[in-house]
Amino acid sequence: MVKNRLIASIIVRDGRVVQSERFKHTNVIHYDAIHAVDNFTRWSVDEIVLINVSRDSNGQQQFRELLSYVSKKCFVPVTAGGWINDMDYGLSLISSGCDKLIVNTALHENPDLVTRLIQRLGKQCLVASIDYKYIEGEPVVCVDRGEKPIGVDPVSWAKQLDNMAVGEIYLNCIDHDGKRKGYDLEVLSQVSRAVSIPIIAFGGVFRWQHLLDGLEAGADAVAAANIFHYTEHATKKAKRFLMDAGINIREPRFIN
Amino acid sequence: MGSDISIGIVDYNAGNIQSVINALDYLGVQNQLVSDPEVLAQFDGLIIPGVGSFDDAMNSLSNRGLVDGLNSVKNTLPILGICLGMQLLCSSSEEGNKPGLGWVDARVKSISVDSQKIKVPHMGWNQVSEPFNPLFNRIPDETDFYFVHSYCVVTDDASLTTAHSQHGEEFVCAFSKGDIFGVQFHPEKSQDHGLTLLQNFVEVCHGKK
Repeated sequence: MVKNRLIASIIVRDGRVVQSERFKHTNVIHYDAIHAVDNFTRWSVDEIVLINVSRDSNGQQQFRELLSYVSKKCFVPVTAGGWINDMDYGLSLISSGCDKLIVNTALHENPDLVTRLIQRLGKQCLVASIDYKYIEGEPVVCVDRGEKPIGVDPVSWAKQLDNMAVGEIYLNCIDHDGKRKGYDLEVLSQVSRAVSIPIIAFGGVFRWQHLLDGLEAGADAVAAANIFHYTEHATKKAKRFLMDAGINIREPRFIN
Repeated sequence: MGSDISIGIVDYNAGNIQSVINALDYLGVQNQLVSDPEVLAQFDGLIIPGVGSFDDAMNSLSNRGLVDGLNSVKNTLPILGICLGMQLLCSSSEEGNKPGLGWVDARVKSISVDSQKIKVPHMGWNQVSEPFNPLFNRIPDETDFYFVHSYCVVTDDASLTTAHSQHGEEFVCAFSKGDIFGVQFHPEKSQDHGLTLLQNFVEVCHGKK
């Protein structure tokens, strides 16, 4: 059977790896993206997600160059996104070496672009990112780097995106981002039961146990960012923990 | 090994070609994108990569004259189809109405979503069982490779199957017929074992040179 996946998310602003906390990407981690990718892949990570959170679209070219450089020696799947607002740029990321695109705002503001990307690349190439936060106690999907609520709950939005024929959903609770309390398990569980495509959980991992909690809540893949930057052999240790807990995951080992 | 071998990567406007180039570059194997049917025969081996949909891919191959081009070189050099590239070697696919290249007596069907918790696309690392041809030299049984697909290959001719895998149901994840090879997973995205498989293909090409 297909295995659960451990994914390292690398958040990049203006070419530098940054830490994320409630979508404020202020803390530059003194670590090049290429070193992060080198280490995580050596430590058995199953997949890499690279997200460009630069404040304006001027960072597009720099991000593409970074992707091109990083993907030359990265032999696990790479998903890339951030500022994909036209066909040319999306396709240019693919030709720079990523395997999948991750889109967020375009799903709401420009669904036609997403449909065209799916037609051109196939649904397995499109990862739909859903950011949501709690407003008056209810989870509400937001776009524009978490700033614009669209008045839809994550479960309904996930169903709409499934109908739009995206390949996977990358689910992030903004309130949990960088908060070290684990994923928002209730919504994660609801979303994973509502759709038939794979769900990647993201946001809030501070202990390996949080990854296990995410998989037990129904995620197919679990992703984290900050925590992996601060631990030697991080992704290998995380996978060892999951494997010891009985999760069906690719065996952790040191890969040269 | 490989420095005097030149691999053509068939370019028909399909998905993640750059990943295949990156992997061959890393192995130090000369490679070139090729979309001109006239020059296919100049290479020591060909790779047909691909993600995308079956009919689009067949249309795109045929618009470039590559269906005839590939048919004319198929018995003269080793050819490896990856993912959709493997499916194109079959006779037909439930994904489309176009016939495939039909080199391998197998067909492509959609992965059944039954009562089990099967998610489609089949996306992620999965075990490749009982691999046995030259492509799997130095690769242990039950090694994990990376898969991304919603359709899978089945065949009535068990002698074609060189490895199988399971997602809900069992399917053919690698086949070969003479020097024609197909793999459903992505060796270029399956870390060290994937690179070994590509190196093995290069060695097959070397042996035929």
